Amino acid sequence: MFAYIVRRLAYGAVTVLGVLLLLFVLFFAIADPDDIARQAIGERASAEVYEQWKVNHGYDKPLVINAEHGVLEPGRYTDTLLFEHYRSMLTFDFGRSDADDVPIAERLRQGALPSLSLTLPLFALSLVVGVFFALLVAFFRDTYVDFAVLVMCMLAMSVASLIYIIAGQYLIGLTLKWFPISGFDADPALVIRFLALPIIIGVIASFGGDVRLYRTVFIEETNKDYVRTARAKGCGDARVMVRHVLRNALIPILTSVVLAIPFLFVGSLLFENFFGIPGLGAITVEAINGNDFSTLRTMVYISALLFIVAQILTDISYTLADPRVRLS
Amino acid sequence: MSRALVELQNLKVTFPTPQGRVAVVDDVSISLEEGKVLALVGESGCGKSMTALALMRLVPKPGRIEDGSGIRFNDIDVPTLSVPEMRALRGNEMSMIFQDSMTSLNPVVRVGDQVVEAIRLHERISYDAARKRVLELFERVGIPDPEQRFSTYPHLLSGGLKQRVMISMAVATRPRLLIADEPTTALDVTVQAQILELLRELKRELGTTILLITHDLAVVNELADHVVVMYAGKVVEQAERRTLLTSARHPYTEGLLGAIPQRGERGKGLNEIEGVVPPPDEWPAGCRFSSRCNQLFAPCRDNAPPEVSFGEGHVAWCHALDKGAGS
Ligand SMILES: Nc1ncnc2c1ncn2[C@@H]1O[C@H](COP(=O)(O)OP(=O)(O)OP(=O)(O)O)[C@@H](O)[C@H]1O
Ligand SMILES: [Mg+2]
Repeated sequence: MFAYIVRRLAYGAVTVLGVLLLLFVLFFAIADPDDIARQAIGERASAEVYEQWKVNHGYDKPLVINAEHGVLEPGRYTDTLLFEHYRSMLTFDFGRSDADDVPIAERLRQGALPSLSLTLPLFALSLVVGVFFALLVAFFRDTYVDFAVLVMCMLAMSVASLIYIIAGQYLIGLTLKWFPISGFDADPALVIRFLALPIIIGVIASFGGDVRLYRTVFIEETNKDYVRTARAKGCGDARVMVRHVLRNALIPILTSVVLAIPFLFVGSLLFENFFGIPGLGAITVEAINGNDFSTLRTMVYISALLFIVAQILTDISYTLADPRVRLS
Repeated sequence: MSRALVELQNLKVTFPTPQGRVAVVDDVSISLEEGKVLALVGESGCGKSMTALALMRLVPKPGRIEDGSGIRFNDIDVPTLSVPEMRALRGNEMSMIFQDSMTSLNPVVRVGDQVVEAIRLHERISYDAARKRVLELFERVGIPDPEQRFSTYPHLLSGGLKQRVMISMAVATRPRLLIADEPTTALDVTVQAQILELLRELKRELGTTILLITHDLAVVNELADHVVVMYAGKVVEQAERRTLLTSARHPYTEGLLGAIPQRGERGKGLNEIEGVVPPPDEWPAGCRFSSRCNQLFAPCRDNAPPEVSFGEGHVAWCHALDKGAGS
């Protein structure tokens, strides 16, 4: 078990290094520092202004090898953009925004809370609602209840998230006026009003797919031999579902769910943008629109990092939930 | 003569096929006396498990027990019981050891807790009291180091130990009827002998009535009082153990007996039946065994075989025997 975790972490570390290399190629070799400077301050500045900007933002070094240093001096390799890229990303020293010189770490701190205040409740609520309905449907399988919910799920799945957002804003926000259409407030007491609509819409948007997936898992479990044993002991249907099937089904469900965490982060690009939530997703969109390469690089890096961490957590949670894996 | 604990009358279990519902258990009538061991034998696919599951009303969907099937247990009319009444019987008055001990335990629940559940579903006792009983049971069924085994998960136990856990679960509530569905098939030969010995001891100690399902006539010889032979959803012959093992009349039973390796001669017996049981939707119209029988003659293919009695409860359903008796 311990050896497994160590090995898994080592794989993760190698993946992170690979991702950083890819980012370096994208952000420094393909879009070179001169392009970035031109994008940031415009076409018409003088050569000195460009140089000064590059010095200020740390783009003034050679890419991979610094010829100013001798072959045997470490500076030949460390005083370069490649080394600087790895150092800053691995130590989470993200530097400043190319667009407005604000420290990126500051931005992340400000954006994290609004993002999490949306994604976390959305994630938890979707999971609970999805599992609950799937359990119900699996309980009533091969009846009209099951059939009706399945048809509903199929319909729900075939509609894009964007439609839910627009329709939800129109119906709940504009027509019924239950909640504000968009906006955010730092005060936790007030922010709930703003978050209600995106959370409701988010749960509805993921409902169809979740229920269908979880239902399949539940029904597959229901056909297993241990379920028959439980019935033969005298367990009722509800008890069989909750005490026996749920625990086994939670293993595959957990796997799919933990993997979804980073996708929620990326997925909130859409939601934060439409609902005016100043979170990490909104910052990313802003960075793309404003040619803010250093911020964008950081955001892509963090997404990738979250994804890798999520995969490791999935594997570990899988082992914790399943004694067959846990103890071997 | 003691009274019947289980009485099946014209039991019919059907499954849907493209050609309509097919009876995989067809008009089966069996009676099982209190305190006795009845062996249900036949090859794979003959409907032995379905017969037992029907008794517990556990026939899996889309299978169904047809109306008109009589199932009496302890003078209770089983088909008319409500769901909670049925639940109160299962695992309490009647319990079952399943064919595949490898997969029949819940993989993510500690084995001890699975037995505790079996007790606490039917008795209002504390967890600790139930746990104590489980430890005693484990001891009784020959699980070494019960304290430690209580907290392990099924995958860490050998097949024999898993089957012992299953057995302790089944007898935990001292049921009147124990159904053992091929309790030894999945096990090594040496372990098989131990499990059979355990079942014999439990039967003696608890006086439990046992419905033993097997296709191994050696097991029948060890344990059974009475034997019912099934072929393709029908009972073809039934008799006391000794009668059946020494003077079986039905060609199918003779074939089964021929298939047991005799002492000193391993491998194929003389009379071994060719082929396998066909799938239910290909069962012949007249006598179901007609497609494999070596004593086939005119009426076999078209007419259901007549009941032929040889006295002392020895009955067979066969045209060939009827002809013999008649002439
Ligand atoms: N879910 C199902 N759907 C359709 N037919 C089924 C189903 N389960 C069992 N059957 C059929 O019912 C018949 C009887 O099955 P059963 O399990 O009772 O046989 P068995 O005598 O216990 O055999 P085995 O020795 O393999 O356990 C089989 O021929 C099988 O084809
Ligand atoms: Mg069977």
